[in-house]
Amino acid sequence: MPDTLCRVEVARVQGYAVAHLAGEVDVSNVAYIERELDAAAGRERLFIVDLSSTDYFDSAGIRLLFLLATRLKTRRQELRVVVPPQAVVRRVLEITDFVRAVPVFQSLDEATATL
Amino acid sequence: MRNARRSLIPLAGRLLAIAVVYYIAARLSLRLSLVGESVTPLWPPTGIALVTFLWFGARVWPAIAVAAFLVNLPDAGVGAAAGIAAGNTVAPLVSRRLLVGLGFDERLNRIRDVLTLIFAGALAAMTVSATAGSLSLMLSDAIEAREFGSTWSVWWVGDAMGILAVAPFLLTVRHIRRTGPPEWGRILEVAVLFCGLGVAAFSLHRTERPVWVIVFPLLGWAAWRFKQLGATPAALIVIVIASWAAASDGGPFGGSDLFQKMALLQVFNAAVAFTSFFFAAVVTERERAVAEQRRSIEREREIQTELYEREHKIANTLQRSLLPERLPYVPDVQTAARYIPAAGEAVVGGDWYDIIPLHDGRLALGIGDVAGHGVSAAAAMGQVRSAFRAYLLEGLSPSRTLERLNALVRELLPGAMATLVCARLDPESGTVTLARAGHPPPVILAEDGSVRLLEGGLAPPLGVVPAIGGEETEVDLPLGATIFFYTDGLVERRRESLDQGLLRLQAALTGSDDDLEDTCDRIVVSLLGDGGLADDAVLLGMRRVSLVGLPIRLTMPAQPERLSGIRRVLGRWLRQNGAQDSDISDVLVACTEACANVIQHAYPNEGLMDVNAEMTDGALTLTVRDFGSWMTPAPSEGDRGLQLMRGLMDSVDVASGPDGTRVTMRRGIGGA
Repeated sequence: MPDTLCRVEVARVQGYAVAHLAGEVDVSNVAYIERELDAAAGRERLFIVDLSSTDYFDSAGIRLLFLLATRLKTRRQELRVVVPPQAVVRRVLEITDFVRAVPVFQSLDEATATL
Repeated sequence: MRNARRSLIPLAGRLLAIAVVYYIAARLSLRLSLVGESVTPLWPPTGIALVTFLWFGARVWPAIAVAAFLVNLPDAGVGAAAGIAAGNTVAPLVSRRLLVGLGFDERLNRIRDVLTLIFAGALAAMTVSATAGSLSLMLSDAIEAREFGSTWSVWWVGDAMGILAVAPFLLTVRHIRRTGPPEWGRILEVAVLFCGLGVAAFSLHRTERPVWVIVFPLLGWAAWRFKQLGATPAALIVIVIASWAAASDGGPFGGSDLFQKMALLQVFNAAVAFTSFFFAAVVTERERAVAEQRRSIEREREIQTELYEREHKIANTLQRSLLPERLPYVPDVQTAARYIPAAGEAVVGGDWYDIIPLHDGRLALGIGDVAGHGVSAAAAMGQVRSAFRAYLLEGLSPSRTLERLNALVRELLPGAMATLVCARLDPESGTVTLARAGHPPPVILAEDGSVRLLEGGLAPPLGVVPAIGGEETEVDLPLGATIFFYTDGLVERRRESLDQGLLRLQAALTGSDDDLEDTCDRIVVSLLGDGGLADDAVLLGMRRVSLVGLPIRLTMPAQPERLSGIRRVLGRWLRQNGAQDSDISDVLVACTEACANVIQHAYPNEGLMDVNAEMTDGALTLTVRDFGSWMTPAPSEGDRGLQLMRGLMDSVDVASGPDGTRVTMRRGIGGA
C-alpha cells in the first residue's frame, strides 16, 4: 500500500537508477521508504536518492541513508544523494555530518556527471 | 396393620354411603317400571354405579352388588335378585373399563367423549345387564320365554338411558367452578330456561297441545349458553319427565302397546341425550378453537412486539456506536456536533457524521443520512461511513469520494439511498472544498453574524443513478467564521417546504456567540420548538479560530502516525505568530525528534505525549514531555536526534524525573 506522507518515484536510466522522494520522511514511514529504496537500487552500480522534492527529513531518514550506503557498499554499489542548495532538508544533512560520509550533489546532472 | 385398619374405616363408610344412595335411587326408579315390577324404561342407578366406579375405582363393587341385590330381593326372589345384581354390577364395570381404555374425559368437552359415552359406555356395555337381568327373570319364571326379547330390549335401553341421563350430569356437575361474583343475568336465564324445559317436558303427560316439541330448541339453548353444565341437567330433567310420562301412559305414549311405547320413549330420550351432549361438545370445541386461535394471535403479536423492541435497541446501539465518541482536537479549528434523536416513540434513523484529520494537515468532514430506519439503515450507514473514511485517507478529493461512494452503494447496498456532504478544510488557507450528494446545503456563519447558504457542488443522492459527476465547489472560510452542516431532520417539518425550513435555519443561526458549543445549543433549542423532531437530526459546526498570541498545547497518544499532524498544527501556529519558512522547518525537525524519542523510549506499551509552544517577544519556547520512565537512558550525546535538536535550536534542556521526561527547547524567531 502506498504511503500517504511520501511518494517514491523510481527511474532507471542507462547505468544507474534514481529514486525521487516526494513528501515527508519520518519514523512513521521510514520502514516503507527503506523497502522501496532497497527494491529500487536493484543491481545498478550507481543508485541515486533525490531529496529535491522532499519537504521533511530528520534523523530517521539520515539513519536510513547511512544503512543503505553501507549495504550498497558491500554489494559494490555506490549511493549518491541529491540535495539542492536551497532545500529545507540541507541543514539536517549538514548538522549530522552526513555530507562527509556520503557524496551529496546539488543536482541530478551533477550526480551523474562523473558516471 | 394399624395403617391398614385406619384406611379400612373410611372405605367401609364410603361403601355404605354408596349402597344407600344406590338403593334409594333404585327404589324411586322402580316406580317407572313398565314390565312387571323390575323392568323400567329408565334405570338411573346404572348411571350412579358407573359414576361411582369412575370416581372411586372398581373396588367399591360390593356396595353396588349388595344394594342391587336388596332392591330386587322383595319382588324377584333370591335367585333372580342375585342374577340381576350380578348384571347390574358387572355392566357398569365393563362400561368403566371401556371408557378408561378409550381415553374418556369426564368433562365431555370433546365430541369424541360424547360418542364414547353413548356407544361404548352405554349401548355396548349395557347388553351385559340386559342379558343377565332378562335371563334371571325368565329362569325364575317371572316372565315367559316369548317375553324375553321385549324384556331384554326394555332392560337394555333402560340401563343405557340411565347412564345417559345421570352419568353426564354427575360427571360434569363436579367441575363447576365459581368464578367471580354471581351474574344475575345468567341466573335469571338459567331459571327461565329450566322452567321452560320443565313445562315443555311436562306436556308429555297430555295429548291436547304437543308443546313438548319445544324441548329441543330449549336443550339447544342450554347447550349453547352453558355447555355441558347446562346440557346435562337439562337432558336429565327431560328424560326423567318423559320416562315418567311413558310409565303413566301420558300424552303421545298413551294407547299404544308396550313395544311401541318403549320404542317411542327410547327414540325420544336418545334424541334428547344426543342433541344436548353433542351440541354442547361442539360448542365447547369451537370455543376452545377460537380461544386457541386468539391466544396464538396474541402470542404472535407479543413476539412481534418483542422483535420490534429488540431491533430498535440494536439499531440504536449500532447507530450510537457508529457516531464518533469525540471529535479530533485541532487547536485552530473548533468543532462541535449535536445528535438529536426523534421525539416520542423514536425511530432510529441513518444519520451519521465524522471528522477525519488527514495526513497532510487538512480536515475531512462528512455528514449523511441513509434512507430508512432500523438495523438495516444503521448497518448501511456504518458501511458508507467506513468507506468514506478509507477514500479520504487515501487522498481522494470530496467529489471523487462521492463518485466512489455512489459506485459502492450501487454495488453493495442495492436499493439503498443516501445523502451526504463531503467537505475538506485546509486550516492554513481556510479553503473549504465541498461536494454534496442530494444533501441540503451547508451554511456559513460569518464572524459578524451574517449567514450564507452554500448551494454549489450538488450531485444526485448516492445509489440513485449509475454514476455521479465530479461537482465540487470551493469557498473561503475566514478566521472566525463557522461552517454548519446538518441533516434534513433538523429543518424539515410536516406540510412545509424545504425552503421554509432553510429560512428558519438561517433565522436561528443569525447572531453571534463567542463559543461554538453555545452557538450549537442555541440553534438546536430554537429549531426544536415545542414538539421535538419527527426524525432524528445532526448538527455539525466547524469554526476557524486565530492562534495569534496564544500558546498551544497538544496532547495525544505517543504514536508515529501522530507526528505529521503535530508538524501541521505547529507549522500553522508558527506562521501565524511571525515565523519564517526557515525557522519553521528547523523547529519542526527539532520538535519531531523530541516526540520520536518519546514514542521510541518512554513507554513499554502506550502513553501520552504533550507538546507545548509559546512565543514571547520573538522567542519560542517549545516543550515536549511524557509521563513514563525511559526504557533506555534519556537522549545522550552521540544520539543523532539530540544532535539535530541542539544544532537547530538555540538551547535544549532535558530533565528526567520519576513522573516523566521534559525536553525544553528555545529559539529566537524572525531574525531575532
